Amino acid sequence: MTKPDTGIATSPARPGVAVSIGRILRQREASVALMIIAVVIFLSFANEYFLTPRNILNVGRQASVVAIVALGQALVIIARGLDLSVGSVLGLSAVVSAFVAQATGNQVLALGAGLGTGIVVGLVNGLLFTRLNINPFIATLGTLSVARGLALLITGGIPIPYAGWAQWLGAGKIVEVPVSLILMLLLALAFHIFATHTRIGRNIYAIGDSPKAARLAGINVEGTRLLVFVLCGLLAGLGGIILAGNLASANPDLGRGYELDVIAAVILGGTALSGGRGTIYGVVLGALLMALLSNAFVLLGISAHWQVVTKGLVIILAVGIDGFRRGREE
Amino acid sequence: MNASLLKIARLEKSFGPVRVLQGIDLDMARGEAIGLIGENGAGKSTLMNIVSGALQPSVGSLAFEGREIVIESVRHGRELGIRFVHQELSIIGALSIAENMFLGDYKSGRSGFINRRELAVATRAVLERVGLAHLDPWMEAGRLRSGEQQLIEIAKAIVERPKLLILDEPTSSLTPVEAQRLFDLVRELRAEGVGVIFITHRLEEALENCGRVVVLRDGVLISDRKTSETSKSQLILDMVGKTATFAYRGGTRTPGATRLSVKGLADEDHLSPIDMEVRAGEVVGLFGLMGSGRTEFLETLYGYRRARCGEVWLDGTLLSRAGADKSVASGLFMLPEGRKIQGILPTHSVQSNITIARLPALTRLGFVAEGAEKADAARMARSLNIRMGDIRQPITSLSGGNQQKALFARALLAEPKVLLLDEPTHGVDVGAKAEIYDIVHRFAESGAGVLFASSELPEIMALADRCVVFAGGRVAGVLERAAMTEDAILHLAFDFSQGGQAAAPMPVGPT
Repeated sequence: MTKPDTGIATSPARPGVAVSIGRILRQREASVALMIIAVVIFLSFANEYFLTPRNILNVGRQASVVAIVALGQALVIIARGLDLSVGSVLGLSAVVSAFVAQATGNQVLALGAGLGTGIVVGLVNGLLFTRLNINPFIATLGTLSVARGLALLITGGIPIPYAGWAQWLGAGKIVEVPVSLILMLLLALAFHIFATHTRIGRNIYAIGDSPKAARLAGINVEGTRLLVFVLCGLLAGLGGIILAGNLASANPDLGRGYELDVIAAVILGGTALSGGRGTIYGVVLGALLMALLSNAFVLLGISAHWQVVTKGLVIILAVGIDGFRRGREE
Repeated sequence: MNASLLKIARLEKSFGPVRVLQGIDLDMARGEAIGLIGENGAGKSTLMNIVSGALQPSVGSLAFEGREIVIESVRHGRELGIRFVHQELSIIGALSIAENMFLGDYKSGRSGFINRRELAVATRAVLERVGLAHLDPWMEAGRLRSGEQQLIEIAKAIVERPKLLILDEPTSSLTPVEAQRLFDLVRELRAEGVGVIFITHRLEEALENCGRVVVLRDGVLISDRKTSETSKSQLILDMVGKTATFAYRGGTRTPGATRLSVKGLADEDHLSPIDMEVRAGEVVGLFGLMGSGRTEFLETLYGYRRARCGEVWLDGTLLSRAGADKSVASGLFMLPEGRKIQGILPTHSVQSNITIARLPALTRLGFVAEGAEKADAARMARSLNIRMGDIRQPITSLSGGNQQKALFARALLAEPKVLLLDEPTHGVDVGAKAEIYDIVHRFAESGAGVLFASSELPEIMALADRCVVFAGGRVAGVLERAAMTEDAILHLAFDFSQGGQAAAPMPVGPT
């Protein structure tokens, strides 16, 4: 049936040191990595501006918010869940954070309120899923609407100006490198270690692989799933603060449709929507590819409408290649 | 004798290298009723699947109504007039009784529109035949009790006016009144010339309602007896036979103090309150027929299934049973029956599968000690002789027997005080079976308790120091080793399912 080396079983059990090229190519992350290389090669010939440090860092900054939110989403999907509410949480957290900053002038409180908002929505999502057994697709579709509505109610539909720490997170730089990019890389490293080397991380993979088997093996399935939803909410909240800070304004419409970009990045990065499989570096690559594509359209001066079409095609292509390859192996 | 309806000659069936049926000869006349009995895995379902067209014989021939024929598919079989009513229900809950009854046809005629009036009339006529005349044809089928659904299933078959009707455990979920109505219906059908084959575990039913009883054992037709000339004891003897057995080695162990004590435990639907004890160094076997409640009992005990009442004590501590995770933390561990969906983590490596329940003991400040993990997995794989290329290969690349040994490695690494096993050698070859028996024996020798459920008598005989027989969701009897014979165990299981039926008709599914 399955051959000994499909690259599928490697996420929980780490590959050895001597990794052959062939083995790398069989990884699920390979298709997105190859696409990134192809786009980079093409753009470096097509546009002289592309390879400038300024542009590369800009791409990194663009990728960072999608990647940060996708880190949480990836854990949720690996545990056989789905969080559609992240776009709305992004907007609500930004609005709450800006509101608190405006009302109190206290930056710590503002940041805490934004992140806390994410945690609360994540907790609600997790409880709806684990305690009331509502399908996560439906539960988070509900909170998607509720969170967006709350953001509109708080602001009356009018953007709140947002300066202070959020602006540093969203637009600041440390030696020319965007703060949000540094934050994203640090978080990605932390989540990679969390997912692969801690007991909870390992349990997340086990739950996604077979919830029944995981439960019978003594894993606290409900508690673990609750935790990943809370983490996902927290990161969406952080994403909202960064995005609002970058624009110096918290728009209640901020992050509308963002959930699709985030889920696309996760899936592009080789995470299986059916759970149990996926890597953090794959997710970062997925987000990077999406940012590269937007950059390409700007540099080449092609209509942004084509960008929307292409984004969809790339997702279908990446997942299609993977499905085709696995279909042949089985 | 009437004209021949079905004639099976020198039939054989193999799945790959495994021969599951051999040398089957059977002749059946119109209007005859035959009881087909045998232990689980004897080949009853395979034989009936061949007759109904779902499977093709490897060797041998079938003749239907005197003509030799190859039944190409279930559809072809149905066109010929052969209808197999399976034990698993195929009722669509969201549709009405009438729509279920005439699924795909709907009396729509040429127009394509459903003729509701005609559909209702036809449905009522059939409902009356199976004793459900009081039901509204437009009632949603999902709201029916399982016994009623079973009867609807049979009604669906009758609608097609079959010549040969095969019923698999038709009375398992019926009340005594419903069962009686079913047997009356069978008599009517026989008078019309329909042949009926009953697959059943209830010997009395076969003896009372069939002209002949055919016994299969290990794929061979052992006996074909007239019910007027045989007895229940004779049939049990035919079923048990003298199969290849594994030697019982438990005599060297001396049971110690009580480790597991179950008091009045019942789940929400299947079980009556049950008491049980397992001592240190003891292996207790739970035997029961399909649907007797073995699995439900183990799952409830483990906290995987909700309990209605009762207490579980482990080494003198009352367990909360708030969930399987709590039970594992307290010192229980269960290996479930369904290895594929409840046991293995299919995309994980062998090592990760072995160590998943060990992680709590390997964790320091949240991080898994990966060197120790690797060492534990390797040690267990060696000790249990798991055959594989590399411990990092996917678990699914191992054979069934080695997968099961990997699950045993998982269980032993959790270091339970009492190990619960449900069908520990299901789908495992003979060699691995012997190794697994050895693992269980050695584990009990180390002072732990083992409670295992099995539907295979030889397994009970090979492993159990004591046998608790389940029937109808309760304990039908307990046999100490000295009193344990296959005959005695089967008598308990069969007697009780007859006697207990009137008192507690239970909805039964395949366990």
